[in-house]
Amino acid sequence: MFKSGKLIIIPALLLILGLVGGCGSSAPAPSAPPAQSSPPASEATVGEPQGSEPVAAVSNFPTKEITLICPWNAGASADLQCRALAQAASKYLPQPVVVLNQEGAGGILATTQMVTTAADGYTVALGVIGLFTAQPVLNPDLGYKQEDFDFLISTASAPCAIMVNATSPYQTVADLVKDATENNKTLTFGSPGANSTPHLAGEQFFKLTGVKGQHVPFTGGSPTMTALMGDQIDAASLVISDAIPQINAGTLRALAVASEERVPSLPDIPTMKEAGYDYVFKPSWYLFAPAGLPADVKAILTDAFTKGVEDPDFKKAMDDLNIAVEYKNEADTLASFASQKAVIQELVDSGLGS
Amino acid sequence: MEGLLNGFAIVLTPMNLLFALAGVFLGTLVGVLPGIGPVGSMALLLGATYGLPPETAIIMFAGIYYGSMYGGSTTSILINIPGEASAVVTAIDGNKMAKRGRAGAALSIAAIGSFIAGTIGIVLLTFLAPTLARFALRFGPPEYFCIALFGLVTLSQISGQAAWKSFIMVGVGLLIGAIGVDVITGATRMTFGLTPLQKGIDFVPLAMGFFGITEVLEAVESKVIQKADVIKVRMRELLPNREEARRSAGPIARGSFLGFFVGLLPGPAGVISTFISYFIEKKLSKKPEEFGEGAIEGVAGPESANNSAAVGAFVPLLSLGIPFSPPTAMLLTAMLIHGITPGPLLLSEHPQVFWGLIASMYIGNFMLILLNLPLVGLFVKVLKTPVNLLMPIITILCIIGAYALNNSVVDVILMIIAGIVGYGLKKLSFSTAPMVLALVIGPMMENSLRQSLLIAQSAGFTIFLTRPITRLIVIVTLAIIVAPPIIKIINLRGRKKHV
Repeated sequence: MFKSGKLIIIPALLLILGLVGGCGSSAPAPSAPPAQSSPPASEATVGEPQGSEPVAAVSNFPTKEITLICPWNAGASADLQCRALAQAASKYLPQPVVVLNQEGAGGILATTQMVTTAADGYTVALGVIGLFTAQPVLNPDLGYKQEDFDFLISTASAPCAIMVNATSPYQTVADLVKDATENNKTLTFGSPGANSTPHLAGEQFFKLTGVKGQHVPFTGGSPTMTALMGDQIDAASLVISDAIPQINAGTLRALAVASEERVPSLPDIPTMKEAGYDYVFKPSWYLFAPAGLPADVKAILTDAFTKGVEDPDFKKAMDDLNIAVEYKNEADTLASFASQKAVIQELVDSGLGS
Repeated sequence: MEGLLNGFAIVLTPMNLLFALAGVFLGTLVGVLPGIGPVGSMALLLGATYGLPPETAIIMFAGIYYGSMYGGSTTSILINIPGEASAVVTAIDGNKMAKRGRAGAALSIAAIGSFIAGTIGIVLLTFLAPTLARFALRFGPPEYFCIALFGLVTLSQISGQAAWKSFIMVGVGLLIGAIGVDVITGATRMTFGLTPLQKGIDFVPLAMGFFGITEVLEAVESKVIQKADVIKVRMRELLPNREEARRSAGPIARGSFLGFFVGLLPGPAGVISTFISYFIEKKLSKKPEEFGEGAIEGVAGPESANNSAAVGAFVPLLSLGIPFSPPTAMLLTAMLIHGITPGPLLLSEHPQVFWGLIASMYIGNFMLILLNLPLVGLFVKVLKTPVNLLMPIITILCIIGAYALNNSVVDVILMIIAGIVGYGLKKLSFSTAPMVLALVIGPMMENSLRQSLLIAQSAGFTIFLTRPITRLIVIVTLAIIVAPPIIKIINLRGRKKHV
């Protein structure tokens, strides 16, 4: 039998582990009660410095750790990017950058919560292009606007690609278009989700080629690839970084990538422009913060994260994820939103998925 | 075979053994804790493993994953709080056994069943992985839908309450599962303008509310429970008696194979395997009336099924490089950050990782049973904790667990609401297990149905009859619905002849 003293160990261990589990990923302990009282806002700003500290002493910013919100689950490729970037940027700041995961609704949830977050520079988030291109066009219930935020820099990008099973008779885009047109086929194409950037890239492909496409949304890149490998669907529109391992393994084939230039690690895959259809759909990631950052705070953050993006460790981490590091300043980031949004608006106006 | 032996050579180094042990120990712990699961703990450790050799890191992460399947049943049985969806079914009979003073037996059978099922699963994984992976690819949305439908039919029969009550609970669960962004159109549904609801309602806070908080509220109300809960436990009572062991053998064997094959499928397949196993055992039992009142088969079958399902989930990960569930997605991440890409090329490019991992699972499973059987005695003593201490601890654990899920207070609020609603439902003698399970399979069922119809194009619903696998499942499902009344009639006639 066990000594009664050991009894205490279990609940104690459980508690300790629980606390570690709880706090490890939510670095700033949410000790201070939120100052605002509107319910969604107070939930949104977990662990925020709720105006209790005046933002006056900006000259020595930052005086405490900076939270990088990752709107995806821990372990997702965007989460790995956040962690690599946090680590790299911490080298160039007197305080560490810590990642906080706030998953949900493809990033909409965390973005909406950012609207009511204090604009003091202690909270920055990683975003993906669709949040400010596809969503404003397609989602009438969106709880945020582009004007609600300050944008710092773009960090990385990976283009969309039209993929088929490696056993498919389609070797090129031309094969697909020829077969579908001659035999009046409607091709089913999967994507990682309705209204996702790859979904819209697929719609654009079928619109420009004139082939009839039936969109089948899945819940993420992996289920889409599974369906394609099992011949459940004829084609798929995917972010190339998700598919590169399968391309290398010879199970899936990319017909063309929707970027300006070929992907360096896939020199044999033509761009859509080379295949005869001039369009670009390239999910990119960027950093943003609540609008109204003090100018000097913004400059400090921009500088540190720019150095972080250029850091070799960040480059190495992105290489492992098959994502290209692509720095853009604020103006170029906003310009890329505008051009992508215009394409999507035109696509939607011409009748999406009809 | 040579590969496997090399794998054992890799694992049987002090460092790899140590990390395997660390993995399974940590897995057991996070499995025991409600709310804190293998995914969160793996995510926390990701950054800390950069310096390790890849096979060592992956051996540890895998240990956390299958180790957590062992621990998951503990809180289900002891305090009626399933830490994860796959342990909900275990709570139905496991907790009743605990209240009868057979907590030790239930925990031991769960551990033994997990061990046997895990080992059977690993043997199947070792020899059949590539074949099975190709087989798993033949399952598309139409097949997923039929399996979910089959699960739903069995689900409505598991809780032991009146059928109409089960139907209501299943219906409510399906509706809750529909909250959030619709996968097919991207539109938001039933969020009432509340942004936090856009991501849908998570299973974990609801389960902790319906089971854990409801339990706490009941304890607060009841004054007798303090006496009833202090059970004297003797060593021999910790182990299953001969009768219990005999009754568990069949369910463990069936659960092992069932779980493994269902585990090859994506999404909540492992969860579905638990209630299909429960359903099968109830149907095969000579005393079906004992189910829901503490039948050991109701612990043995589902607990075996969820463990071999966890092993089954390694097949698509290792052979196709595709994760079918969040924990295997974390394993994929762990491999990627070490520069290893799982998939068809894994075996030729990184044999030391592939075989090292498989061999470590054999050894890890042994470690788990050696670790868990002695712990049974310790865990059972939790029940001796006075209620006025135990209940606050449970409440705190639930709150921490719900918060840690998404770093969000919304989940804590949801859990408390669910606890209060669950208390009311219990007063009306509704069992909430079908509701939370329907919530888990609802989205899978809806999405795969709509995906199937999109794929079918003009063929429409006939897609379910033209594919061989779906046809089989549809026939079995119909048989389950139609057979009981027919058997009843035949039995009645037979009895009349004898009389």
